[in-house]
Amino acid sequence: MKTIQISADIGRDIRTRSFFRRDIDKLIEKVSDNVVLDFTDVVFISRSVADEICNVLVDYNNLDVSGMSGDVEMMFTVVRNGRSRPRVYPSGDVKIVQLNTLDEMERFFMSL
Amino acid sequence: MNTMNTNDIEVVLTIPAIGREQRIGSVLNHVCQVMYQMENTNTESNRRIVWDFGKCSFLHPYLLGALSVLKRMYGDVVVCRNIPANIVDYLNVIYFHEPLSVIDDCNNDDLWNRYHGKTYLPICEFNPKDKSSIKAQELVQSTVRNQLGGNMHSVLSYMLSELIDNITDHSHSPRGYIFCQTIPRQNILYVFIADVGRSIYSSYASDPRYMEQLDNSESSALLLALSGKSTKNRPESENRGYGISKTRELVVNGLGGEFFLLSGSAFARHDAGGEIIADLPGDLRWNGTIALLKIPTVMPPQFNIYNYIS
Repeated sequence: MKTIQISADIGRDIRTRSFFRRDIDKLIEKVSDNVVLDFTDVVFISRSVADEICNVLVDYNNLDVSGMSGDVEMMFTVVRNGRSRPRVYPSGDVKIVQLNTLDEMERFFMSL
Repeated sequence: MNTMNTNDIEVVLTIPAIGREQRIGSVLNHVCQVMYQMENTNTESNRRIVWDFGKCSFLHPYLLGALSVLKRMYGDVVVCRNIPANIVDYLNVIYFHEPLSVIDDCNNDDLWNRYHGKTYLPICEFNPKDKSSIKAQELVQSTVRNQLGGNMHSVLSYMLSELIDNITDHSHSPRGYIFCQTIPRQNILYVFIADVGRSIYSSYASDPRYMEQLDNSESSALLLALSGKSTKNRPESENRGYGISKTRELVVNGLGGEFFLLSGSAFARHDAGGEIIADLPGDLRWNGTIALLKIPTVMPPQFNIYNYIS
């Protein structure tokens, strides 16, 4: 069992999905054992990083996470639970306008 | 927006007096007018475009951000002239003329510490493909930390990470830009985030799944982005596409702020008055995407960020 200390190896404030994934892949690639990603001392993960943690857990079957607390744990839990629910795309009430001239554009913007 | 041909090699473009108190629509109108004039000026044969600031006494942060990035894109073609004495220093300290480059592995703390507690972070340029994009976010937060109430620091982290992640993952832009300015007596934070990449429409157009939903207007792509459709969902989960859709919900419905998006030739606004998307006139486009956020620095009492995260 190998433990990767995320705060030491990647950072305490993790914001970018692609950078996180790149770093994790590098850290894991040479490990054949089971791996624990230890988030102790990590103070922030973005929503997209939380989602990428879920992807990592799907892609590697020898992984687990530990040490999450506070906002990090909350973000991960909310995102993980959200993935298991059907996605609802709000249709909303969006008005679309076609501005054909600069005068139309000016009138549009001045009304905002 | 007045233009004047002074001679064969100069086109003079008068920058309007747009202060911080101006309505956002007025600011955006002038941003678009400048874009139009720039796009429609023949800059071959060493012709220069003079931005005449003679009528300016204040400048809105959004106008400054957009002009600064345009100036960077056009390079030596743009010449600034008649800048009033009272804003010369301001333009210099916010690095209007040449955005301050954020470098991933060069922690020049002396430089960045100057901005702790200021009401602004200079216009910063970062590389979306390296960790300077993270450093840029941290700089925004360390600058405004003491001006944010409640847990707004975490909320700002969320919004910045989502929007800058989009630049990194979708824009194909060589550079990203960020600029922020607080107006303490109004409890307002303005955030300007821009790229010079392929636009949201081009991002969706590269995904065959969206061919049926895109028409030939770029507004159709903004509609997809605002409804949360992603070009990068995984087979087992519709897990992506939250960046723009949720950020604007959080800003507008959660915090009572305003959210604006300009991408290619389409524009979207979402505020308490509702949501509207517009296709701009034919020749008018921003080559990339700009997100503008007007955020209250004080969180409403009942606000819970997790209501806006899925």
